[in-house]
Amino acid sequence: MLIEIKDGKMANANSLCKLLAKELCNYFYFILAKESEFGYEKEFTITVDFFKLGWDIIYNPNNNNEIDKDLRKISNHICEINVKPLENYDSILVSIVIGDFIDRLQLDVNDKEAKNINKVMNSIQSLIDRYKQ
Amino acid sequence: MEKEVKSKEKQDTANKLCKNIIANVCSYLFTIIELHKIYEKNYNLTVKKRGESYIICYNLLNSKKDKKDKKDIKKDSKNYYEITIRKLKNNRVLVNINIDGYIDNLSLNALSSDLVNMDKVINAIKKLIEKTGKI
Repeated sequence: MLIEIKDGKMANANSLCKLLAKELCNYFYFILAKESEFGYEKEFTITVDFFKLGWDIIYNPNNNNEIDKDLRKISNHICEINVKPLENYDSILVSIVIGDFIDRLQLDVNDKEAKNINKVMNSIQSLIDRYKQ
Repeated sequence: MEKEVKSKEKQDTANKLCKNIIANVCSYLFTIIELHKIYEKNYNLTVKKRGESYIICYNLLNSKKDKKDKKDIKKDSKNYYEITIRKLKNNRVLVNINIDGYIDNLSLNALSSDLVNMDKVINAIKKLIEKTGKI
C-alpha cells in the first residue's frame, strides 16, 4: 500500500517535471531565441539535458568573433534552469539563473498545473527584466 | 525600392517559418522521446543557430561509472537525430532530416500555410523514427 502511494506520488511529480521542462523549452524557442531578448548576435545554443535527477534547460550565446573558426562558449551560461523532484515527491524544485540573478521555487505537486507553470514563467520574466536593466 | 521591400518581406516570411518549425519540431521530439523512452539513461536535445542555419540535435549521453556527477557523463560522438533548417532564396526553406541514418530532405514554400509545412516536417520525422523501429 505504502509502495503504491509512493509510486503514485513519484508519477505525479515526474509528470509535472516533464510538463515544466516542455513548457520551458517552448518558452525558450518562442521568446528567448528572439534576437532582442538577450542580444545575441548570430549564434546561440539552447540545450535540454535529461539526467537521473531532472532536466537542465540552458541558453548559451556563442562568442562568434570569427564565425565557423572559433565558436567558443561564454564560460557562464546566460540562462540555466533546473527542474527536479524533491526526495518526498510532494514538491518540485525549480532553480532559475539568468545572468547573475537567481531564483528558486518549490512547487507543490498537488497544485494546479497552470498555477505552477505561471509561477515559473513569472519568475523567469522578472529575472529577465532585472537582467535587461 | 519596391523590390527591396518585397525581398525583405520574403526573408521575414522564411525566417518566421524557420522559427515555427524549430519550436514545433523540438516540442514534438521532446514528446516522442519522453513518451517512448527512446533513451536509456540520459539524453540531450540541442538547438544551435549557426549563421543562417538552425540545427536541432538529439544525442544519447553515456555514463561510464553511472555516477550522478555530470562530469562523468559524456556525449556520444554522433548525433542520433540531426535536423537542419535553413532559408533559401525565393521563399523556400530547406529541411534536412537525419534520424539515426535514415535521411529525408524537404524544400518548403514559406508562402504555404504554416500548418501544411509543419505537417510535412512532422510526418517526415515520424516516418523516419518509425523506420528505426524505436516507436
